[in-house]
Amino acid sequence: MKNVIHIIIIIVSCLVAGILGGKLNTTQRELAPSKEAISGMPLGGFQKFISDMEWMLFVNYLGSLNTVDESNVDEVSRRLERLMSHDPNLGKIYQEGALMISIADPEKTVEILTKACNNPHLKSNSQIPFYAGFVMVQHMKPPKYKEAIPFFKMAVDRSGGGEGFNNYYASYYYRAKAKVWSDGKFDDRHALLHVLYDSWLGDTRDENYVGGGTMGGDSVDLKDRLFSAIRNVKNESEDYKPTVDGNKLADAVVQRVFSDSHICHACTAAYGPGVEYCSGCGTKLKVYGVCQFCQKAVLPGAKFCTTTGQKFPEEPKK
Amino acid sequence: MNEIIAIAGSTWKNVLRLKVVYFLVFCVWVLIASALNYDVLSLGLHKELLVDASLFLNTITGVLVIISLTFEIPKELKEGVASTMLSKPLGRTNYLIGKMIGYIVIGAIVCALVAIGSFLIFNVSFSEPIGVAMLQNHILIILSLIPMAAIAVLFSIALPEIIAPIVTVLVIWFAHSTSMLSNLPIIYGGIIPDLELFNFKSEAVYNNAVSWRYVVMVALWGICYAIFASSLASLIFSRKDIK
Repeated sequence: MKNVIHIIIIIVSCLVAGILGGKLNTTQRELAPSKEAISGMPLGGFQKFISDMEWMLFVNYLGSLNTVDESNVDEVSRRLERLMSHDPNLGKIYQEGALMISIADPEKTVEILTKACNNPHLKSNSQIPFYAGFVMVQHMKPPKYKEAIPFFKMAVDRSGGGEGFNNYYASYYYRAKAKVWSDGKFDDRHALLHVLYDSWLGDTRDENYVGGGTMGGDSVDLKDRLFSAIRNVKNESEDYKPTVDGNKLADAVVQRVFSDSHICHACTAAYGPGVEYCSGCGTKLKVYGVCQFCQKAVLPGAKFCTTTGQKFPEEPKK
Repeated sequence: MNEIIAIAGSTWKNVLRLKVVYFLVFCVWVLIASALNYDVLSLGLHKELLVDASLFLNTITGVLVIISLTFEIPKELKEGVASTMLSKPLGRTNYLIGKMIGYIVIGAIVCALVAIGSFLIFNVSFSEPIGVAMLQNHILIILSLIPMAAIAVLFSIALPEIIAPIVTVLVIWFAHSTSMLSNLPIIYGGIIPDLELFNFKSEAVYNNAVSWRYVVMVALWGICYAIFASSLASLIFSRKDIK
């Protein structure tokens, strides 16, 4: 009888533990999705601690190298992969480790960084996708601009409009897009202006066209970039001569984007109220901010002309 | 019930009276604090390293306490300690449960001391409160002592004195890598232990807390598995001849 009770307890507890264990295993995978990516090596649950030790050994090993080149890149890659198999969530593996091999083996670097980009634990890290795109355009031969665009876009989106990084990521994003669009047929300045203008047009149609938020059509950032691109297209320098197509595009952009910004269509110099000719290039300008009776400049927001005393008609309320 | 409490009480009192236990706890604290020296070599990851080292060393401490159980039971049986009680009908089961609870309590106290020390070291070193994830993981380590103690009891009864601790260590070690068997319903978790359920060390280092509901559920699993293993041990023990 005593044995029967024992056996019943064993069976019942085994069933309950089995059912509960199965459910908890599923829950654990949801709570810690990165466990799937961790190597199945029996390390007694100390994968993280072993990864920490491996990281320090890796840093120590790198310190013993003069440079990472063809002679040691395989060993560095092997160590990086081992680190990733123990702790795929360690951001430093990608941000500092993977970049060590970016010159000797850019393909491997991008492969490692792509894995990191897909890691849900690192989804808020904007540097990793940026580095992936950066390696593609700077170290790969030939540069892979088209493939780099989604990474730069990811970096911009992840940076969430933070100061500094966002501008940097966005610059690379637009430049990569410009390279893809021009395909060697247009100069870089023209291509960049085209891409920025296209983004502005897209943004005004759909605020989520590129990045949304900070990169929206009416954003200061995009307008600043457009303004700078217009100047670059129009102004001659030692290694650049403005092209007819570039000038046409720049004029179109000025008229469309900066129609109310009081800048010279020809040279993009800013001008003040009452000015008839551009001080930079002598082009006839669209005059603004003058009294309709005496044609003299008036202060912004003035209700009466300071020369004739005439009252200005009130602007219709919006 | 009184017998179980008496056995458990005498077990933990005997062990916790030893000064060497506290000396070892102090050594563990020193080891945890030594992680602070690795700020340069870890490229600034010394905070994460300290959290991880505390969890690693606490796990080792817990396992060592449990392993001592596999030495204690065969030794007591050999020396004829509690032979009067073992001759009673329910005496053997009570003895095993008492020993198991006693060692769980010892492990919980020692691990709690290690955890408290690591919290203080973290707090003093980085002037910031400890993360919930770190606290949860230390609690999970303490809870993992329940199934581990049952496994130790089972092997200390079923296997010879010399082999039992080795097998127990191996089983505890490999029980962290059994998730590949998760497609075996009931057997996995029911017979084959899954101690990895208690392991969120990586998440603790990155301060990703798990739900308290999960902690409670995993404690329940530990208790169920402990009942299974200790009942099996009791069944084997009841048929064993004791000289």
